[in-house]
Amino acid sequence: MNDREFDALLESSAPELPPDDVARDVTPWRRAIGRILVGSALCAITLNFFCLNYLLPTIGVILQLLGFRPLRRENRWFRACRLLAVLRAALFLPCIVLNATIYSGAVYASSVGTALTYGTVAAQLLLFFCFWRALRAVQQRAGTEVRAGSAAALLLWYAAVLALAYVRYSGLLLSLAMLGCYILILRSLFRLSRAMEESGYALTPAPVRLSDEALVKVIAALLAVGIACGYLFFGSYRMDWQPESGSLSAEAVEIRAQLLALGYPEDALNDLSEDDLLACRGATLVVAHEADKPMNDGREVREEFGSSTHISTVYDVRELHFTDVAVRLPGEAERWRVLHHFRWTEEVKFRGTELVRLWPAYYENDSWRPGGGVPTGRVLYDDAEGNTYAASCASLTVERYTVTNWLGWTYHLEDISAEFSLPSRGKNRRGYVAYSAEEADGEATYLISRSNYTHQESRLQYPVRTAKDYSGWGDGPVFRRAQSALEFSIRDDGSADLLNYEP
Amino acid sequence: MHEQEVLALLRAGDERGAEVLLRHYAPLMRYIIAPIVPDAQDREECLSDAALRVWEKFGTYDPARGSWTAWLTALTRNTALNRARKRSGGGEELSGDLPSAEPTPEERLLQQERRQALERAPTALPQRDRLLFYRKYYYRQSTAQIAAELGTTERAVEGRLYRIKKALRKALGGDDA
Repeated sequence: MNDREFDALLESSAPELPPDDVARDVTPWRRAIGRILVGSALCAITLNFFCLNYLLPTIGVILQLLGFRPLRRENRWFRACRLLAVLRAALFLPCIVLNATIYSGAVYASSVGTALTYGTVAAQLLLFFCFWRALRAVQQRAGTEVRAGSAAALLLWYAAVLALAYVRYSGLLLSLAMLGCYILILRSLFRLSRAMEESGYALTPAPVRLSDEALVKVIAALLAVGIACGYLFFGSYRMDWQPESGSLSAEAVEIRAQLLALGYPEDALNDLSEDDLLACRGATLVVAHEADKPMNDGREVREEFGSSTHISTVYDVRELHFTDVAVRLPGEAERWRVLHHFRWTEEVKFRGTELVRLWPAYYENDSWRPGGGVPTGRVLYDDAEGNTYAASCASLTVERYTVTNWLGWTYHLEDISAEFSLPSRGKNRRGYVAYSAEEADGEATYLISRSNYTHQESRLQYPVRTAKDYSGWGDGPVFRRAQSALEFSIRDDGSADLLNYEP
Repeated sequence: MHEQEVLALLRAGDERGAEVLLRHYAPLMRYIIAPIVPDAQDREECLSDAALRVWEKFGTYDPARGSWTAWLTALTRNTALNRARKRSGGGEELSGDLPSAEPTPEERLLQQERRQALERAPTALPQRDRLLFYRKYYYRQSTAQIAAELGTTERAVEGRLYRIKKALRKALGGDDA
């Protein structure tokens, strides 16, 4: 039997009645509208856990794209829906890739980010509006009863959510009410979809050049490649490493010798740039403190004391060496140049973003205020031949903010953040951040300056945050912190009494 | 209006039933007719014929044998096939009395054997292929229509249909089938 005869046999032998599931599922409506509804549901809600706030809208955007695609020739409203779905995907999906880079925060904070946010929201709102009109047009064309109120309700609900987000509403009552409305609207929409199946037979899906399956694979592949590139090539700062010439002016050499004589640790002193040496001109006193801090979990040690067990953590390796130095500058009032050095004594396992955040002498202490000049800092390493390379920090910023504690006391705080990435090559990775402080009230008898080092030790995070973005306390799965402090009192005779205690 | 309300009107022989039937089910009936009857004017006449048959034969509808949609689909399809055959000037006319036609014992036996063999074969197919089979051989939809409705390319549909036919040939006794 040839192919044509076999086709004829199959046609003539088909059963009288199609099976119920077949009769139900052979429709041009259900597939497209199901995708649109599920896609819209996923796009309209934000669940801030397990990355669902990224995963669900991504699936939603793709489903909307697939759902509106075959309906693009149905009526002008569906055509508009299709264009808006493409626009929304074009605005949203690149953000999924952008989130895999350290630059996402900067982009979102810029005018481009604002335009992106408003564009996405406007596209979604317009999409809901056009969808509502499209459903009405389908019903009108099919000559069935016109009712698509739940689609209009979804539009109003989304507008209300945006309004609440705009006024930064965080109350529970209204949020629960909105969630309840959302569930009711979805229920109503799916009911409407079922009720509209009769009119849905009037749809004529448009042919596609690329199958849905292929389109999804292409989008998924582009996202996967984009995200992989983001993690691999845009997960750390571009550092401008330059070889250190080692040549200093005669004055700088003289200042260095003076600082060494006053007790500045030599290894740290050798890292200072000419400008930082010159900033210490006329130094009268150097106070220094060194400490080794662990950047690992250590090991647990259990000791039995009679019936009780004492559990402690022992660190066999302390990877980060801190050298904190304060240099008194000449003048009648107390003026100090504070320099916080760090040095990795072990190989750094992962190269991502690093942060040194200084809580300077004037942090929570009104006796001090910022001295002249801006904070400085740089990062260095040595290659296998012993040549030294140095680079400026990727960013070095001063941030001021106001904090009110539980007693209602208000503090004006100011800290200094240096962001950088360590080199992937070389050894002896190190750096420092420096600032000046001067007494504000003539009663400065005590100085404490803290250096908080945040190290990124893993790539496993989405969206990608920099060490500076990491705001949690203590160590997280991706970031680890260490703190070193320089703390001393200033005696009446002008000498300093180091108060640091290292266990 | 709910399906049950439409059925109640038809069952009661209420004249509003015909109007309601067309208002609610004309899109479905047109959807079934379109791939079988190519001419637009013919299609509208066929729709009227099918609606008349539904009105006349509604008494033979037995919910136990299948859903209302399946029954309406079958009756509309047969009406469309009959019209198409008349137009092409040949072929045996299909019963419009579905599913209560009373064939001769011989026809019944033949139909039963063929139906059993061919009904068994599609049921063994995966759901996706089964739907494709019915779209092609029951609803007589074109490859282009199937591709557009399933969001795929004609080539992909042809490929899948080829594999389905191959599987059916095998199930029905190899190349002799």
